[in-house]
Amino acid sequence: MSTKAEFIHRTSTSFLEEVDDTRLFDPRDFLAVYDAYFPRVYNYIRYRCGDMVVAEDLTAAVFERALNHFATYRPERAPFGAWLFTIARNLVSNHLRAERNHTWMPLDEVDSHPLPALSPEDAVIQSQTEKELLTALACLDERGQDVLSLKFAARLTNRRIAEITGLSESNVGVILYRAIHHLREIFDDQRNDGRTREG
Amino acid sequence: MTSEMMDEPEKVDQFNRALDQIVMGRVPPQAGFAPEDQRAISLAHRLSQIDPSRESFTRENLRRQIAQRASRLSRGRYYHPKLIPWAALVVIAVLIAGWAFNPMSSHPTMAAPFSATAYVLAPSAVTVNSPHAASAVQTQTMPPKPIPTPAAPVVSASYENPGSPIPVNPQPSSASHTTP
Repeated sequence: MSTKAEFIHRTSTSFLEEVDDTRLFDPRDFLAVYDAYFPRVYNYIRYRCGDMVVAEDLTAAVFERALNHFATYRPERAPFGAWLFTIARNLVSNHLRAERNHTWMPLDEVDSHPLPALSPEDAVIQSQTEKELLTALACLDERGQDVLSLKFAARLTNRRIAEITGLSESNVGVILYRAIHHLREIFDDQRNDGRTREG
Repeated sequence: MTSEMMDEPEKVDQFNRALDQIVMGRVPPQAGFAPEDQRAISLAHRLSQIDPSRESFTRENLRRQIAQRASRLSRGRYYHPKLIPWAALVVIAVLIAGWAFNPMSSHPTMAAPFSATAYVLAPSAVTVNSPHAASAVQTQTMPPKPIPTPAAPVVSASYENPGSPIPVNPQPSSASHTTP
């Protein structure tokens, strides 16, 4: 593995590590970038959009745009992850703006692709929980969704989230605190409604 | 709730430190948290375990496409975008220098300002630049005078008498040469 690929791998696995590398990247290193960042980018978009097909399309668009503008990336300005998630965030925002009239959220695909490593019962429980959590996440306001997705799907620090969103670090912390408490309330309400309906 | 949180920034910081632990894959300590915060942390832990990327079918296809494209990019020469304007400037400067010192430009309008041979090969350029050239150019550019037609009596005489030779240079009458 080349030095640059090692650098990308290091920065992608240890999300808390500060990046200070002023070297330019070679396009061949982009595969390491893809391997390291695909799950996080995909999960972030999946959290935000809720649709598997849209998430795949947007993820492909993110990496295509990153590859096209790979030469313009300046490591001294921002870490690579922040740069990549800024692209992802812009694409998601554009998509959501275009699809604002769509209030539905197809989450049936989650049921159709359970985890292969789990037992069928666990897979059903997990997928059900995922479905409920993603549905509850969609009920949050846009900023809360964005910050929670950057935190748990993209696995970024509050500082990086602050850089990407333009908020202050302390503000990000407060938004996360409120959003998770609000998510818990929505999640509990959904479960109570489900039990009431079953009863 | 807002004012309550504004009064307790330490609580928010502690909560966020627990979230960092969760995101890094560790189990956060439950001690020191209020019950509602504990439930929120538990939910955050569950949220962090969601990995929808496993459901993606296009991951390998996309990887293959990116690999092809990245290898294409790396095979070709890589030019940094900032270098492109400088490279364009250098090319333009070389072209201008080539035109300015070109010894083969012979046309006066294309003559290079520093080309010494251009004056030798194109003497008209010297003529144009001389102070007398202005009148010369003006003379040349004036429309040519019409060619005078032969005198009518001569032509008519030849047609009236086809057998007689046509006087080419009719002599003026002797009266004109006689002195009074």
